[in-house]
Amino acid sequence: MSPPFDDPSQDAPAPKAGPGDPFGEGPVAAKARRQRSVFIALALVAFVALVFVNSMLKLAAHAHHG
Amino acid sequence: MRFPTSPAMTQAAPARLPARFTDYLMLLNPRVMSLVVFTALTGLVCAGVPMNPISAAMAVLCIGVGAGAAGALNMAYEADIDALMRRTKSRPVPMGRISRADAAGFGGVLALFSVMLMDLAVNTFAAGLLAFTILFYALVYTVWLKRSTPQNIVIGGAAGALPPVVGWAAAAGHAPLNAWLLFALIFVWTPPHFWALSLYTATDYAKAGVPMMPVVRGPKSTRRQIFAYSLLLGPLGVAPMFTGLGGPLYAVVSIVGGLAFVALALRMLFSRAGEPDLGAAPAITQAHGTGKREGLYTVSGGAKSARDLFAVSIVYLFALFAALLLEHGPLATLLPGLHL
Repeated sequence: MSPPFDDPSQDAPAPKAGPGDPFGEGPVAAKARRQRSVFIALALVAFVALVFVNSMLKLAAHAHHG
Repeated sequence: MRFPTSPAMTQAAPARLPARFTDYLMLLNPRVMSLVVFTALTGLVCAGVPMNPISAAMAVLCIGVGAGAAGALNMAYEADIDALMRRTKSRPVPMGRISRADAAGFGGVLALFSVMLMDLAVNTFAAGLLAFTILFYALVYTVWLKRSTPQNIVIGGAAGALPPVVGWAAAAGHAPLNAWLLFALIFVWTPPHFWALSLYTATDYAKAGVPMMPVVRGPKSTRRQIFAYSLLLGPLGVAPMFTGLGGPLYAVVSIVGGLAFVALALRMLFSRAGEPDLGAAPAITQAHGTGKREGLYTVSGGAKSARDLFAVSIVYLFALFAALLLEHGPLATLLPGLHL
């Protein structure tokens, strides 16, 4: 007899989710999650930009000093 | 690490609310962050070392983010205490908007990024000092001292006093005596500042089991200690005049401000601030989820003298650092002969 976790029919039913709410979390939570995602994306882009600008500054300083 | 809990915390957050990105911003404790950025900028400018403006901005950004990271780590660990105090119970973690694990993860990641960027963009010494500051605040103060001794904010004040040294190190690559003088100023300023506040919020601290000085030693002893620190702070505030750090503007600000500080501390010494019948806790209204606090200065009776000292202590420290910033920044450019 196979253990129950091998049987896909024993899985919990998937939440009823619409296309704009893939996790079935409700409109308020979905909006908050989207805003957090945008915030994380902007923070990552800002970090990459900072590292890039810093690299350019260091390269320019080294080039200036020969 | 296991987080301490309190019954009020589970009662306060029966259901998990969705976290907005503004809740994560609140985790950074913007008020404290702005003071840290200001003092760090002052240290950076006072170093008097020419620095690329972009590198300088990155240094200040790293210090600000590092301070925010320390605040997030603090809020993750202290959520059980925060849930019990009116001043802090509207923070995102006790409100149930952000879990403690998420807050700790957020703080940890920001701490790593800020130290890493400081090392990449500025120098290793400043990055090391920044890492030490964050760890000192998150571990030594938050985890160890806060709940174990009434000297918590005295020793823990070192973390709040380090930002100008980090700023100075970012510009100069080292930290001379004048940088440590700025450290000493904030370090000695911290106990009278926080104890004045705790004199009229002692009931909250007692409820949360935090051994603040008025809770453990009583208001009379606290008032005496505040006055003693004020007597030390007044002359220390004037000291930068004699080390070449402060000019005429700083002299006026530090003498007038120091006298006002000591006078208010003396008035509070002879008041009944913190006594049970007078130490009315501030009325606090909460804007839902924003962490906005009102009424921090609203007290009654003899506690007014403690409230006044608390308010003036903020103005005093701001004025001292603003004077230094002006003298070493815009005024040094406009009036190069200011420092004779």
